[in-house]
Amino acid sequence: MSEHWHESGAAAAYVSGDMPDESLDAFEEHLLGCAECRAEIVAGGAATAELRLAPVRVKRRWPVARLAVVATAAAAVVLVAWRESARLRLARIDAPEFVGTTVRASAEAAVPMIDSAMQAYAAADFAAAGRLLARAANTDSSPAVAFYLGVSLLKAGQADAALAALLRARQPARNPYADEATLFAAKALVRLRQPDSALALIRRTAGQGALSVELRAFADSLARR
Amino acid sequence: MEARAAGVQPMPNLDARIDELMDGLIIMATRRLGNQDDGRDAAQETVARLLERVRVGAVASEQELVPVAWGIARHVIADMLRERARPNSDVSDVACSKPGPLEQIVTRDQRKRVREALDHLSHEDRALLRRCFVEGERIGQIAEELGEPAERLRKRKSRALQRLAKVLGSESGPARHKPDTTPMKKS
Repeated sequence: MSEHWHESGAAAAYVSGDMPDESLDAFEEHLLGCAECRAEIVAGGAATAELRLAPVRVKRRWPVARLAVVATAAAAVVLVAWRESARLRLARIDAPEFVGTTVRASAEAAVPMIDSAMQAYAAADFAAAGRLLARAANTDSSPAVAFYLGVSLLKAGQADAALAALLRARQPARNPYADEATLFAAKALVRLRQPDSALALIRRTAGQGALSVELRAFADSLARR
Repeated sequence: MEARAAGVQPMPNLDARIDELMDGLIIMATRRLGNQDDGRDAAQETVARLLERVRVGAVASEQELVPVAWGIARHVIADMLRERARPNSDVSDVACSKPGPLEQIVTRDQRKRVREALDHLSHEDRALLRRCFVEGERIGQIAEELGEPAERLRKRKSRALQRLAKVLGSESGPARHKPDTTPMKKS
Protein backbone atom coordinates (compact mmCIF):
# COMPACT_ATOMS: atom_id res chain seq x y z
CA MET A 1 0.00 0.00 0.00
CA SER A 2 2.86 2.38 0.82
CA GLU A 3 4.34 1.84 -2.62
CA HIS A 4 1.03 2.82 -4.15
CA TRP A 5 1.10 6.19 -2.36
CA HIS A 6 4.74 6.79 -3.28
CA GLU A 7 4.43 5.78 -6.91
CA SER A 8 1.32 7.86 -7.46
CA GLY A 9 2.94 11.06 -6.12
CA ALA A 10 0.32 11.27 -3.38
CA ALA A 11 2.29 13.67 -1.18
CA ALA A 12 2.61 16.18 -4.01
CA ALA A 13 -1.12 15.90 -4.71
CA TYR A 14 -1.86 16.42 -1.02
CA VAL A 15 0.19 19.60 -0.91
CA SER A 16 -1.42 21.07 -4.00
CA GLY A 17 -4.95 20.02 -3.05
CA ASP A 18 -5.24 17.68 -6.04
CA MET A 19 -6.00 14.59 -4.00
CA PRO A 20 -9.55 13.28 -4.42
CA ASP A 21 -11.62 13.49 -1.24
CA GLU A 22 -12.19 9.73 -1.25
CA SER A 23 -8.43 9.16 -0.93
CA LEU A 24 -7.75 11.77 1.75
CA ASP A 25 -8.70 9.68 4.77
CA ALA A 26 -6.63 6.70 3.71
CA PHE A 27 -3.64 8.85 2.78
CA GLU A 28 -3.69 10.74 6.06
CA GLU A 29 -3.72 7.47 7.95
CA HIS A 30 -0.71 6.41 5.86
CA LEU A 31 0.93 9.76 6.61
CA LEU A 32 0.93 9.13 10.34
CA GLY A 33 3.32 6.24 9.80
CA CYS A 34 5.39 7.41 6.81
CA ALA A 35 8.35 9.73 7.39
CA GLU A 36 9.05 9.95 3.65
CA CYS A 37 5.62 11.35 2.83
CA ARG A 38 5.73 13.70 5.81
CA ALA A 39 9.08 15.07 4.63
CA GLU A 40 7.65 15.70 1.17
CA ILE A 41 4.68 17.52 2.61
CA VAL A 42 6.83 19.73 4.83
CA ALA A 43 9.07 20.42 1.82
CA GLY A 44 5.94 21.24 -0.15
CA GLY A 45 4.82 23.71 2.51
CA ALA A 46 8.22 25.38 2.49
CA ALA A 47 8.31 25.48 -1.31
CA THR A 48 4.84 27.02 -1.45
CA ALA A 49 5.90 29.76 0.97
CA GLU A 50 9.06 30.48 -1.03
CA LEU A 51 7.47 30.31 -4.47
CA ARG A 52 4.72 32.67 -3.35
CA LEU A 53 7.36 35.35 -2.81
CA ALA A 54 9.49 34.60 -5.87
CA PRO A 55 7.39 34.73 -9.04
CA VAL A 56 8.60 32.59 -11.91
CA ARG A 57 7.80 33.38 -15.51
CA VAL A 58 6.23 30.37 -17.19
CA LYS A 59 7.51 29.67 -20.68
CA ARG A 60 4.27 29.12 -22.51
CA ARG A 61 4.37 27.52 -25.93
CA TRP A 62 2.84 29.67 -28.67
CA PRO A 63 1.44 28.19 -31.88
CA VAL A 64 3.34 29.34 -34.99
CA ALA A 65 0.36 31.18 -36.53
CA ARG A 66 -0.09 33.22 -33.38
CA LEU A 67 3.62 34.07 -33.45
CA ALA A 68 3.28 35.58 -36.95
CA VAL A 69 0.39 37.80 -35.85
CA VAL A 70 2.32 38.86 -32.79
CA ALA A 71 5.40 39.71 -34.87
CA THR A 72 3.39 42.01 -37.15
CA ALA A 73 1.74 43.74 -34.25
CA ALA A 74 5.09 44.09 -32.55
CA ALA A 75 6.51 46.14 -35.41
CA ALA A 76 3.70 48.67 -35.05
CA VAL A 77 4.14 48.75 -31.30
CA VAL A 78 7.84 49.57 -31.66
CA LEU A 79 7.03 52.87 -33.39
CA VAL A 80 4.59 53.92 -30.69
CA ALA A 81 6.98 52.78 -27.99
CA TRP A 82 9.77 54.98 -29.35
CA ARG A 83 7.59 58.03 -28.89
CA GLU A 84 6.59 56.92 -25.42
CA SER A 85 10.16 56.29 -24.30
CA ALA A 86 10.85 59.93 -23.48
CA ARG A 87 7.73 60.12 -21.31
CA LEU A 88 8.55 56.90 -19.50
CA ARG A 89 12.17 57.85 -18.83
CA LEU A 90 10.85 60.93 -17.12
CA ALA A 91 8.50 58.84 -14.95
CA ARG A 92 10.92 56.02 -14.23
CA ILE A 93 9.86 54.22 -11.04
CA ASP A 94 12.59 52.95 -8.74
CA ALA A 95 10.83 51.41 -5.77
CA PRO A 96 12.38 52.62 -2.51
CA GLU A 97 14.18 49.78 -0.78
CA PHE A 98 12.39 48.15 2.15
CA VAL A 99 15.05 47.26 4.69
CA GLY A 100 13.02 44.99 6.92
CA THR A 101 12.02 47.29 9.73
CA THR A 102 8.40 46.95 10.68
CA VAL A 103 5.90 49.02 8.74
CA ARG A 104 3.94 50.32 11.68
CA ALA A 105 0.28 49.47 11.36
CA SER A 106 -2.44 51.52 12.96
CA ALA A 107 -4.75 48.50 13.11
CA GLU A 108 -3.82 45.28 14.94
CA ALA A 109 -5.80 43.15 12.51
CA ALA A 110 -3.73 44.31 9.55
CA VAL A 111 -0.31 43.38 11.01
CA PRO A 112 0.06 39.82 9.64
CA MET A 113 -1.15 40.91 6.21
CA ILE A 114 1.30 43.80 6.15
CA ASP A 115 4.13 41.46 7.13
CA SER A 116 3.31 39.21 4.17
CA ALA A 117 2.92 42.20 1.89
CA MET A 118 6.30 43.65 2.79
CA GLN A 119 7.97 40.29 2.25
CA ALA A 120 6.48 40.27 -1.24
CA TYR A 121 7.59 43.90 -1.74
CA ALA A 122 11.13 43.09 -0.66
CA ALA A 123 11.14 40.21 -3.13
CA ALA A 124 9.97 42.62 -5.87
CA ASP A 125 6.63 40.84 -6.26
CA PHE A 126 4.79 44.15 -6.50
CA ALA A 127 1.57 42.62 -7.79
CA ALA A 128 1.27 40.43 -4.70
CA ALA A 129 2.38 43.27 -2.41
CA GLY A 130 -0.23 45.53 -3.96
CA ARG A 131 -3.04 42.99 -3.46
CA LEU A 132 -2.13 42.39 0.19
CA LEU A 133 -1.61 46.05 1.00
CA ALA A 134 -4.91 46.96 -0.64
CA ARG A 135 -6.64 44.55 1.74
CA ALA A 136 -4.66 45.84 4.70
CA ALA A 137 -5.63 49.40 3.78
CA ASN A 138 -9.28 48.50 4.41
CA THR A 139 -8.52 48.46 8.13
CA ASP A 140 -5.31 50.49 8.27
CA SER A 141 -5.26 54.09 7.15
CA SER A 142 -1.63 54.84 8.04
CA PRO A 143 0.48 56.80 5.53
CA ALA A 144 3.03 53.96 5.55
CA VAL A 145 0.57 51.40 4.23
CA ALA A 146 -0.83 53.89 1.69
CA PHE A 147 2.70 54.76 0.52
CA TYR A 148 3.91 51.23 -0.09
CA LEU A 149 0.56 50.35 -1.63
CA GLY A 150 0.93 53.26 -4.03
CA VAL A 151 4.47 52.31 -5.00
CA SER A 152 3.52 48.65 -5.45
CA LEU A 153 0.58 49.57 -7.66
CA LEU A 154 2.72 51.93 -9.69
CA LYS A 155 5.36 49.26 -10.19
CA ALA A 156 2.62 46.83 -11.18
CA GLY A 157 1.41 49.23 -13.86
CA GLN A 158 -1.73 50.51 -12.14
CA ALA A 159 -1.01 54.24 -12.16
CA ASP A 160 -4.64 55.27 -11.55
CA ALA A 161 -5.04 53.28 -8.34
CA ALA A 162 -1.47 54.14 -7.34
CA LEU A 163 -2.20 57.85 -7.57
CA ALA A 164 -5.13 57.59 -5.17
CA ALA A 165 -3.05 55.69 -2.61
CA LEU A 166 -0.07 58.04 -2.91
CA LEU A 167 -2.24 61.11 -2.45
CA ARG A 168 -3.62 59.54 0.75
CA ALA A 169 -0.05 58.90 1.90
CA ARG A 170 0.64 62.66 1.77
CA GLN A 171 -1.72 63.17 4.69
CA PRO A 172 -1.23 64.33 7.33
CA ALA A 173 1.14 66.92 5.96
CA ARG A 174 4.80 66.46 6.94
CA ASN A 175 4.36 62.78 7.87
CA PRO A 176 7.56 60.80 7.14
CA TYR A 177 6.19 59.51 3.83
CA ALA A 178 4.70 62.76 2.54
CA ASP A 179 7.65 63.91 0.41
CA GLU A 180 8.27 60.57 -1.26
CA ALA A 181 4.53 60.09 -1.73
CA THR A 182 4.39 63.42 -3.55
CA LEU A 183 7.27 62.40 -5.81
CA PHE A 184 5.69 59.08 -6.73
CA ALA A 185 2.26 60.69 -7.15
CA ALA A 186 3.83 63.10 -9.60
CA LYS A 187 5.38 60.18 -11.47
CA ALA A 188 2.01 58.47 -11.53
CA LEU A 189 0.51 61.59 -13.11
CA VAL A 190 3.24 61.57 -15.76
CA ARG A 191 2.46 57.91 -16.42
CA LEU A 192 -1.16 58.96 -16.85
CA ARG A 193 -0.09 61.56 -19.42
CA GLN A 194 -0.79 64.48 -17.11
CA PRO A 195 2.62 66.14 -16.72
CA ASP A 196 1.09 69.57 -16.11
CA SER A 197 -0.87 68.17 -13.18
CA ALA A 198 2.31 66.57 -11.87
CA LEU A 199 4.12 69.90 -11.94
CA ALA A 200 1.15 71.63 -10.30
CA LEU A 201 1.15 69.04 -7.51
CA ILE A 202 4.82 69.61 -6.77
CA ARG A 203 4.38 73.39 -6.83
CA ARG A 204 1.47 73.13 -4.37
CA THR A 205 3.72 71.05 -2.12
CA ALA A 206 6.44 73.71 -2.42
CA GLY A 207 3.94 76.20 -1.00
CA GLN A 208 3.73 74.12 2.19
CA GLY A 209 7.46 74.04 2.87
CA ALA A 210 10.88 73.30 1.38
CA LEU A 211 11.01 70.65 -1.33
CA SER A 212 13.30 67.65 -1.14
CA VAL A 213 16.20 67.45 -3.60
CA GLU A 214 14.44 64.70 -5.53
CA LEU A 215 11.20 66.67 -5.83
CA ARG A 216 13.02 69.78 -7.03
CA ALA A 217 14.97 67.74 -9.59
CA PHE A 218 11.81 66.09 -10.86
CA ALA A 219 10.01 69.42 -11.09
CA ASP A 220 12.94 70.82 -13.09
CA SER A 221 12.74 67.86 -15.49
CA LEU A 222 9.02 68.41 -15.94
CA ALA A 223 9.50 72.10 -16.57
CA ARG A 224 12.19 71.48 -19.17
CA ARG A 225 10.31 68.88 -21.28
CA MET B 1 4.75 4.61 29.95
CA GLU B 2 4.09 0.89 30.15
CA ALA B 3 0.98 -1.10 29.18
CA ARG B 4 -0.82 -2.27 32.25
CA ALA B 5 -3.71 -4.38 31.01
CA ALA B 6 -3.25 -8.11 30.51
CA GLY B 7 -2.88 -9.28 26.91
CA VAL B 8 -1.34 -6.01 25.76
CA GLN B 9 2.09 -6.20 24.15
CA PRO B 10 4.83 -4.07 25.65
CA MET B 11 5.72 -0.99 23.61
CA PRO B 12 9.41 -0.27 24.14
CA ASN B 13 9.47 2.33 21.39
CA LEU B 14 6.34 4.11 22.46
CA ASP B 15 7.99 7.50 23.02
CA ALA B 16 9.60 7.47 19.57
CA ARG B 17 6.37 6.31 17.91
CA ILE B 18 4.36 9.02 19.62
CA ASP B 19 6.92 11.60 18.53
CA GLU B 20 6.62 10.41 14.96
CA LEU B 21 2.83 10.37 15.17
CA MET B 22 2.86 13.94 16.41
CA ASP B 23 4.52 15.09 13.17
CA GLY B 24 1.85 13.47 11.04
CA LEU B 25 -0.98 14.66 13.29
CA ILE B 26 0.21 18.26 13.10
CA ILE B 27 0.24 18.08 9.30
CA MET B 28 -3.17 16.43 9.06
CA ALA B 29 -4.87 18.64 11.64
CA THR B 30 -3.34 21.90 10.40
CA ARG B 31 -4.45 21.20 6.87
CA ARG B 32 -7.98 20.28 7.88
CA LEU B 33 -8.45 23.04 10.44
CA GLY B 34 -6.75 25.70 8.36
CA ASN B 35 -4.26 27.14 10.85
CA GLN B 36 -1.28 25.99 12.84
CA ASP B 37 -2.59 26.90 16.30
CA ASP B 38 -5.70 24.77 15.97
CA GLY B 39 -3.66 22.09 14.24
CA ARG B 40 -1.26 21.82 17.15
CA ASP B 41 -4.07 21.86 19.69
CA ALA B 42 -5.81 19.05 17.85
CA ALA B 43 -2.58 17.03 17.58
CA GLN B 44 -1.86 17.42 21.28
CA GLU B 45 -5.41 16.49 22.23
CA THR B 46 -5.20 13.43 20.00
CA VAL B 47 -1.95 12.30 21.58
CA ALA B 48 -3.35 12.83 25.06
CA ARG B 49 -6.37 10.68 24.28
CA LEU B 50 -4.17 8.07 22.59
CA LEU B 51 -1.90 7.82 25.61
CA GLU B 52 -4.93 7.40 27.85
CA ARG B 53 -6.08 4.50 25.69
CA VAL B 54 -2.62 2.97 25.88
CA ARG B 55 -2.68 3.39 29.66
CA VAL B 56 -5.93 1.50 30.06
CA GLY B 57 -4.83 -1.22 27.65
CA ALA B 58 -7.16 -0.32 24.80
CA VAL B 59 -4.27 -0.36 22.29
CA ALA B 60 -2.90 -3.87 21.99
CA SER B 61 0.38 -3.20 20.18
CA GLU B 62 2.53 -0.55 18.52
CA GLN B 63 1.07 -1.59 15.17
CA GLU B 64 -2.31 -0.33 16.31
CA LEU B 65 -1.04 3.11 17.26
CA VAL B 66 -1.41 4.59 13.77
CA PRO B 67 -4.99 3.53 13.00
CA VAL B 68 -6.14 4.34 16.55
CA ALA B 69 -4.45 7.77 16.44
CA TRP B 70 -5.99 8.50 13.08
CA GLY B 71 -9.46 7.57 14.32
CA ILE B 72 -9.07 9.77 17.40
CA ALA B 73 -7.73 12.66 15.30
CA ARG B 74 -10.75 12.58 13.01
CA HIS B 75 -13.08 12.92 15.95
CA VAL B 76 -11.01 15.65 17.60
CA ILE B 77 -10.92 17.62 14.36
CA ALA B 78 -14.63 17.12 13.78
CA ASP B 79 -15.34 18.35 17.32
CA MET B 80 -13.23 21.44 16.81
CA LEU B 81 -14.95 22.21 13.53
CA ARG B 82 -18.36 21.83 15.16
CA GLU B 83 -17.30 24.25 17.88
CA ARG B 84 -16.66 26.76 15.14
CA ALA B 85 -20.36 26.45 14.23
CA ARG B 86 -19.59 24.98 10.84
CA PRO B 87 -22.27 22.71 9.26
CA ASN B 88 -22.14 19.31 10.92
CA SER B 89 -20.68 17.01 8.33
CA ASP B 90 -18.36 14.05 7.92
CA VAL B 91 -14.75 14.98 8.40
CA SER B 92 -13.93 14.04 4.84
CA ASP B 93 -16.40 16.61 3.57
CA VAL B 94 -14.56 19.41 5.23
CA ALA B 95 -11.14 18.34 4.01
CA CYS B 96 -9.36 21.52 3.27
CA SER B 97 -8.64 21.95 -0.40
CA LYS B 98 -6.25 24.86 0.07
CA PRO B 99 -2.57 24.09 0.73
CA GLY B 100 -2.08 27.38 2.58
CA PRO B 101 -2.02 26.00 6.13
CA LEU B 102 0.93 23.74 5.31
CA GLU B 103 3.09 26.82 4.87
CA GLN B 104 2.50 27.71 8.50
CA ILE B 105 4.13 24.62 9.94
CA VAL B 106 7.57 24.92 8.37
CA THR B 107 10.52 26.39 10.20
CA ARG B 108 12.65 29.25 8.94
CA ASP B 109 15.57 26.84 8.52
CA GLN B 110 13.47 24.47 6.42
CA ARG B 111 12.39 27.36 4.21
CA LYS B 112 15.98 28.43 3.76
CA ARG B 113 17.07 24.93 2.75
CA VAL B 114 14.18 24.53 0.36
CA ARG B 115 14.78 27.98 -1.12
CA GLU B 116 18.35 26.98 -1.98
CA ALA B 117 17.15 23.67 -3.40
CA LEU B 118 14.54 25.43 -5.54
CA ASP B 119 17.36 27.32 -7.24
CA HIS B 120 18.75 24.00 -8.41
CA LEU B 121 15.51 22.85 -9.98
CA SER B 122 14.95 23.51 -13.65
CA HIS B 123 12.90 26.54 -14.60
CA GLU B 124 10.14 24.25 -15.84
CA ASP B 125 9.99 22.31 -12.58
CA ARG B 126 9.91 25.49 -10.50
CA ALA B 127 7.17 26.90 -12.69
CA LEU B 128 5.19 23.67 -12.42
CA LEU B 129 5.43 23.64 -8.63
CA ARG B 130 4.43 27.28 -8.47
CA ARG B 131 1.40 26.77 -10.66
CA CYS B 132 0.30 23.77 -8.60
CA PHE B 133 1.16 24.90 -5.08
CA VAL B 134 0.73 28.67 -5.23
CA GLU B 135 -1.73 29.30 -8.02
CA GLY B 136 -3.80 26.16 -7.33
CA GLU B 137 -3.98 25.03 -10.93
CA ARG B 138 -4.88 21.41 -11.61
CA ILE B 139 -2.41 19.10 -13.35
CA GLY B 140 -4.96 18.28 -16.03
CA GLN B 141 -5.41 21.95 -16.87
CA ILE B 142 -1.66 22.59 -17.06
CA ALA B 143 -1.12 19.45 -19.12
CA GLU B 144 -3.71 20.59 -21.65
CA GLU B 145 -2.10 23.99 -21.97
CA LEU B 146 1.40 22.62 -22.37
CA GLY B 147 0.34 19.78 -24.65
CA GLU B 148 1.90 17.14 -22.40
CA PRO B 149 0.41 13.99 -20.86
CA ALA B 150 -0.98 14.66 -17.38
CA GLU B 151 0.73 11.58 -15.95
CA ARG B 152 4.14 12.84 -17.07
CA LEU B 153 3.54 16.18 -15.37
CA ARG B 154 2.29 14.43 -12.24
CA LYS B 155 5.53 12.42 -12.05
CA ARG B 156 7.64 15.50 -12.71
CA LYS B 157 5.90 17.35 -9.91
CA SER B 158 6.38 14.41 -7.55
CA ARG B 159 10.08 13.98 -8.41
CA ALA B 160 10.72 17.70 -7.93
CA LEU B 161 9.09 17.55 -4.52
CA GLN B 162 11.12 14.47 -3.59
CA ARG B 163 14.30 16.37 -4.47
CA LEU B 164 13.25 19.22 -2.19
CA ALA B 165 12.37 16.79 0.60
CA LYS B 166 15.87 15.27 0.47
CA VAL B 167 17.52 18.55 1.50
CA LEU B 168 15.56 18.59 4.73
CA GLY B 169 17.37 15.46 5.88
CA SER B 170 16.69 14.65 9.51
CA GLU B 171 15.04 18.04 10.07
CA SER B 172 11.97 17.15 8.06
CA GLY B 173 9.29 17.30 10.74
CA PRO B 174 6.78 20.15 11.00
CA ALA B 175 7.54 22.92 13.48
CA ARG B 176 6.40 21.90 16.94
CA HIS B 177 6.19 25.48 18.15
CA LYS B 178 4.89 28.47 16.28
CA PRO B 179 7.69 29.39 13.85
CA ASP B 180 9.17 32.87 13.89
CA THR B 181 7.35 34.71 11.12
CA THR B 182 8.85 38.17 11.51
CA PRO B 183 9.88 39.58 8.12
CA MET B 184 13.45 38.69 7.28
CA LYS B 185 15.76 41.67 6.90
CA LYS B 186 16.96 42.40 3.41
CA SER B 187 20.50 40.95 3.06
